Amino acid sequence: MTNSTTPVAANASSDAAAATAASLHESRFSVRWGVARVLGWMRLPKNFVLLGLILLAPALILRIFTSVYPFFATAWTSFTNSSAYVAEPHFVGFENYVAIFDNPSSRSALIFTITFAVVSTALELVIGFGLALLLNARFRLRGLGRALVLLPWAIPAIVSALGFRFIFADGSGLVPTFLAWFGVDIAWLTDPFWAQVAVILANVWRSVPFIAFVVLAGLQGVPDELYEAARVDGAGWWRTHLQIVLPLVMPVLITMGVFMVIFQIGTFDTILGMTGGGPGSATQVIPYLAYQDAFIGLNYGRSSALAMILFLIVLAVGVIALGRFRRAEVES
Amino acid sequence: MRLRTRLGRVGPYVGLGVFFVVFGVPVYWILLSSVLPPNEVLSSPPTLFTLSPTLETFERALQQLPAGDYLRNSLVFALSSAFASVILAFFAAYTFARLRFRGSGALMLFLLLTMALPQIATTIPLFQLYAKLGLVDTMGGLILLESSILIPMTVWLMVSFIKQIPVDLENASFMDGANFAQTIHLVVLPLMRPAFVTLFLLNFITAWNELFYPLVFSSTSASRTLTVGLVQITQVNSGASSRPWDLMSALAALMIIPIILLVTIMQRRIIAGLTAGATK
Repeated sequence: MTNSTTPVAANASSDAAAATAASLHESRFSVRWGVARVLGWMRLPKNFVLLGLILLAPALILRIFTSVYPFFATAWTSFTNSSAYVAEPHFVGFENYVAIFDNPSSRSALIFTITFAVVSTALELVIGFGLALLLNARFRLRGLGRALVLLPWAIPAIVSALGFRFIFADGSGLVPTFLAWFGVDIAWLTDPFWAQVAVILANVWRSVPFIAFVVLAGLQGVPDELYEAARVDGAGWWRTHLQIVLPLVMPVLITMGVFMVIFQIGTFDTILGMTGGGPGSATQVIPYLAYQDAFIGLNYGRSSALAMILFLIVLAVGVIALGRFRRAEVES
Repeated sequence: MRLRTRLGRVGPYVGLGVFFVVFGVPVYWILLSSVLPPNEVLSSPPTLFTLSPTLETFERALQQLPAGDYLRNSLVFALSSAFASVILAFFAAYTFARLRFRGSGALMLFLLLTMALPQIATTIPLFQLYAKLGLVDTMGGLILLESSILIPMTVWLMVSFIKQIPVDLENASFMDGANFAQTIHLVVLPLMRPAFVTLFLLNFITAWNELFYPLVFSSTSASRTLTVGLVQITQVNSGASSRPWDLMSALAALMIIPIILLVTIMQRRIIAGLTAGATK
C-alpha cells in the first residue's frame, strides 16, 4: 500500500499526521488545564497527578484490601500448620507442599485440574471456531439464534452443572436414554473415566459460546474480497476456511486459548454441582479440594498450600504464553 | 457437483440445527422439570414434554424454602455489585485513558494482574478479616467482594470504550469554561451510556451467577443468594435418588428466567461487551 502512494501524497499525509500530533499534544495540555482549573476551584493543590490518584483510590484500595493483602496472607499461611485445631500456628517450611505431593488423591486432583483445563480449552477452540463460521453465515432469525447460543454462557454454572448431573444420570438421564437407542451403555457418573469425560463435556458446553462470539468478531474483520479472491482461485469451502480464514483468526484463538486455560484452572462450580469431585476423587480439582480443606476440614495451612500451587500453575502458563508471544512478535 | 452445492446450501442449517439442539435442550430440560408434576420428574423413560404444566413445584419451593429471601438477596447482590463496580471502574479507567501520569501505566498493569489471583487463594485471610470486622453473612460484605473482583475486567473494557470518544469534545468543554465535574457529567457520561449499559449487564450476569463468595461468606437467609440456596438443597438429602430435584428445578428456573429475558432482549449489547476485551 505505502509503495503505491506518490511522494506528494506521502508528504501530505505526514503533514496531517504532524498536525494531529500537535493537536493531540495541545489537547492533552488542555485536559490538564481544565483539571487544574477544577482543582483550583476545589481548593486543592494544582496537581494533575493528585486528581488521578483520587479517582483511582477507591478501585485500588478495594483491590488491595480484598485481593492483594489476602493473597500474601495466604502465601504465608501455606508455610504454617494453621488449622482450627492448632492454637498457636507456627512455621513448618514446605511441609504442606510435600504432604500434597505425597498424597495420591491430591496428586491426582492436580493432574486432573490441568487435564480438565487443557482438554476443555482444546475442544472449545475447535468447536468454537466451527460455530463462529456457522454464525457468520446469513440465516433467518439470526438474532434469536445468537441469543440461544449465548444462553449456556449466561446461565449460572451451578445450574447447568446440576442440570447435567441429571442429564447424565443412569437410567433416567437424557444422554444414557438417547445412547441406549444405539446400544451404547455407559455409566457416566459412576465410572471414573466417563465421569471425567462428562464434566469436561458439560464445561465445554458452557464455554463454547464465549469463544465462538470472540472468533465471530474476528471473522467479521476478514474482508469479503478475500473470500472472493479465494473463490476465483478455485479454492473450495474447506481450503478457504482452513488455509486462509483460520490463519487470520489464529492470533485471537491463541489469546483465547491462554485465557481459557488460566480461567478454567480455577474451575469450581461445575465440579461442585455435577460430581462433588467423585466418583472417589476421579473428578476432584484443586480449587474444590482447597475449599473443602479450608471450610470442611478446617486445615488452613494445607488449603493455602493448594491455593498457592494453583496460583503457581496460573503464573507458569502466563509466563510461558508471554514468552511465546514475544518470540512470535520478533519473528513476524 | 449439484449435490455439493445443495449440501453447501443446507449444510450450515444442519450444523446450526445441531448446535441449537445441543445448546437448547439442557436449558429446556431444566425449565420443563420445574413445571412437571413431581412424580414425572426423573421418571424413566424421561418425560420430554407436558400438556399440563403446573406451578405446584414453585408453590412448594416458596413454602419449604426461604426462596423469597434468596431471590431478594440475589437481586440486591447482583444489582449493587454491578452498579458499584461500573462506577468505580469508570473513575479508574478515566484516569488511565485521559489523565495519564508517570506510573499510571504501571498502576493499570497492577490492577489487571490482580485478576490472575485465584479466588480461593484469598479466601481464608478474607474470612478471618471479615469475622473480625463483623462482615460475615452481611449483604454489604458480599457486595464489597463481588464489586472488587469485577473491577479489573471492567476497567480493561472501560478504558477501550473511553478511548473511542474523541478527546476534543472534552477539550471544547474545558475551553467553554466547564470544570472537571461538569465536563464528566455533561459531555462524557452521555456519550458513555451505551458502554455503561453493556458493562452493567455483563457484571449483573456475572454477579447473579456467582456461587463462591456467597457459599463461603453467607450462613443464613440474611445474605444467602439463590445459587447458595440451590447448593443447600442438594446437600439436604445425600442419597442420589432422594435429592429433591423438583425443588431444585424451581430455584434453577427462578435463576435462569431473568437471564433468558436479558439475553434475548439485550444480546447485541452483551455480545459487544464480551468481544470488546479480546479483539482490542
